Amino acid sequence: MADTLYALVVEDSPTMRQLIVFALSRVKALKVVEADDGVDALKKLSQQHFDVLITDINMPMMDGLKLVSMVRKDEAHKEIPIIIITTEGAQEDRQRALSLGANAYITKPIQAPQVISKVKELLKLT
Amino acid sequence: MPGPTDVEGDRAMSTKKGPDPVGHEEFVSLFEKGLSFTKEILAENERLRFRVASLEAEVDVTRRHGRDVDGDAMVAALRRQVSELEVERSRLLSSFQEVENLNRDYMQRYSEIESEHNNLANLYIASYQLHSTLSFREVVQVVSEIVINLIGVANFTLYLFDTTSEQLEPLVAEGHDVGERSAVGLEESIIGHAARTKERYVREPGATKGPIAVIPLATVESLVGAIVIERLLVQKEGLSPVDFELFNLLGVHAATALASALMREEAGNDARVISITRARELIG
Repeated sequence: MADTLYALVVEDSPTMRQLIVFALSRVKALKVVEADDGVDALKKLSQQHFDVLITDINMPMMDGLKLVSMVRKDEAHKEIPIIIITTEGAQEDRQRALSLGANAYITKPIQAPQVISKVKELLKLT
Repeated sequence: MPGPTDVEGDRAMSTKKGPDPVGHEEFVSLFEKGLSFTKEILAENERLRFRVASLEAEVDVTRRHGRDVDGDAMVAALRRQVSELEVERSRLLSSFQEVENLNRDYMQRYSEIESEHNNLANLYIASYQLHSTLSFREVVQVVSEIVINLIGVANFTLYLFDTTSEQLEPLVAEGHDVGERSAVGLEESIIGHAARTKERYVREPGATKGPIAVIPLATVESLVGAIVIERLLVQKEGLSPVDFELFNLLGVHAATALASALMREEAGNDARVISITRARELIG
């Protein structure tokens, strides 16, 4: 595994994005790139390699579920671990996201340790 | 080795009668045999005496040891040792318990610090975002984001206090159409009372009617508005201590951010002028 790992955080709310970035700053060797929505995320995914993708669901332009679906169809990114962070706490929302190819589902309001732990687990960091 | 009852020897001795050359030779032969036999007997005797002496020495040693490992003394010594080991075991158990308690305390403290760290991060980011812009639209957006994402609210209404009508007017809402809410007078209901007194209202646990919380937004000088929380996200079981900290933060910081952004928007281009002369006048 490379020395530096890259995470792409896709979230339209600057407040929430800052909170996730702040939490991830505690994961050593992880550099975070931010995207405002699904379209911005796809653009950034095409420009560089990412080791983990963290996305909201409700976003303008392209929502998180559409983004997950498109990423999984892309041969270049179909193995990237995806974490959904959303306000949608219903079981059917969770099931839908996981069936589309998300690896983990975290509901808001988030706890930083929960996000850190899930990222470390998916990146196999001790 | 021939023994003293050697048949041949006995017979030879009994046949010795007189000076017979053949008998003399036999006698000499017999004598030599007897001599040899006697020497062997003496050597054997010496060996046996040595053996007896060795055995006696061994017996002495055994007896001496027997006295050292005397049963009662040995039991007493073992009991003493067991007792000492029991004391040592108790001491070690006690130390282990102390370490375990310390460990538990550290874990508890670590968890508290972790939670505190998380809460402070939430408060810092909320405050930072509220004061990062003077655009009224963006401030309203940030207030909504804090209420939805950081507190975990599904339904709420942000009211602004209109100084002309002297009523709380619904400005934006989440989870329902803002048009579904009407203006609230300061003398009306829980919402009006909380705004008028500038005292936060939180519904009693177990109660199901009325808003979950009413957070008055006010500066030292004036009332700016109120946030009325009507329903939490399904995954949120209830309000936590950090939510109350966020209520405190919103009560003051959202009020100043909303008021200053609104005034700036009202002032138009004049508010974009930063004059050092005016600034100096203002601080006297």
